[in-house]
Amino acid sequence: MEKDPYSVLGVSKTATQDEIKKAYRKLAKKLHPDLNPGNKEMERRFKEVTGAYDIVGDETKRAQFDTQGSAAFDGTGGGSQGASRGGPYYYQTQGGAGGGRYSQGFDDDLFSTLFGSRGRAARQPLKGEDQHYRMDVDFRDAVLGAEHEVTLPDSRRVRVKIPAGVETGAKLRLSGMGQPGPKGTPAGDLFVELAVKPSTQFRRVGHDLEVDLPVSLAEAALGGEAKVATIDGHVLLNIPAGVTTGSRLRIRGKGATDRATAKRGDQIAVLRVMMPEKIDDDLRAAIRCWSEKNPQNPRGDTHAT
Amino acid sequence: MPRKRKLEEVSRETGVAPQTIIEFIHQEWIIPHDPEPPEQFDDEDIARARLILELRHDFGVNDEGIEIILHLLDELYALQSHIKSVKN
Repeated sequence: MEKDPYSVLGVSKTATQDEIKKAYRKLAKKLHPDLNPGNKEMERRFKEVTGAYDIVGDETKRAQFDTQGSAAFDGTGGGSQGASRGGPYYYQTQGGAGGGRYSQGFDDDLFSTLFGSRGRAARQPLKGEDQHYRMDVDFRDAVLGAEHEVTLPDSRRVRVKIPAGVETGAKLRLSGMGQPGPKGTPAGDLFVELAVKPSTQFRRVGHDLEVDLPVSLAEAALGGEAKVATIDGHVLLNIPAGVTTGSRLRIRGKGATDRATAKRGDQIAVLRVMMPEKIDDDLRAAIRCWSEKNPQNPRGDTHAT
Repeated sequence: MPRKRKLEEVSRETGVAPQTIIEFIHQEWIIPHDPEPPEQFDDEDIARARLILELRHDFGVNDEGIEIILHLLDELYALQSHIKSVKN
């Protein structure tokens, strides 16, 4: 060990483990060979820094170094350095003729946009034609996700996985499921455009699902509990006293999945107060008695002439 | 032909626990050179495993960050190799 690990990391001998870790991270981020592919000086310094951190980043080794000095680590390449830091860096495996395996996933579209049509013509491999298919999806399947086997017009059967939360117009791409390519070239892709069938019960508003919920006069005035259908099955909904037609009660997490955040929206029950079908003498008397003491003008002046 | 290694060998060479390497495979951060055990891993897989470990442990990058970094690096290397092939 030629250099003092503390000075390599730029920390004092009394620095806490946390300070050492922070100093190391800061340097390593700058010097990491995969962020500076091919820069030998950076790579040398990165090795120096990791070597130093392998010693003083570990409390036991640090104590050993503090009492015995660098002699304790001579010939070991700085503790675990030999074992875990050896071998090629990732970038060094990426320089081959065709690049690395992992970087081959980027198809020619990327390059043709960057390098113009010449690139496309030269590089685009021959492949089978893409196919397009439209598919109706039940409302519930669109909200919760589903998998269906469908028969294409050319009578091939394919499994289509519908992700939770899709809406009409969503396009799924099934690569390699289009027309077979000529002479052993890859098949084209199958694009499936989804059309979500409306539900008689649920209305989708963004990621929320709205339902109408009729409540009785008594439930509206006094409160109560009602069984409400959600896309996942029934739930018991607490109705607070004093609600009216148009009041909105929220049932959390029973909406459609937001595909960007993977979180589900809510269900909104929109209340509708229902008069009893038959107004009998009792009710008439009770209401008359109540309203004489409590005159009510629900229209304000919105309909005043 | 690059030398291929078994899971245990990779674990020994990188200091990454076998369970962690299997987790990397499940995350699709590493796609073994050979889909069938035992000798599945080449230099590229091993260097990539080591890089992921460094990102996670030394730099404190979380899993979402690792995914983004790997994606950008792959894209960068794809571009570099393409530029090289255009120049030649």
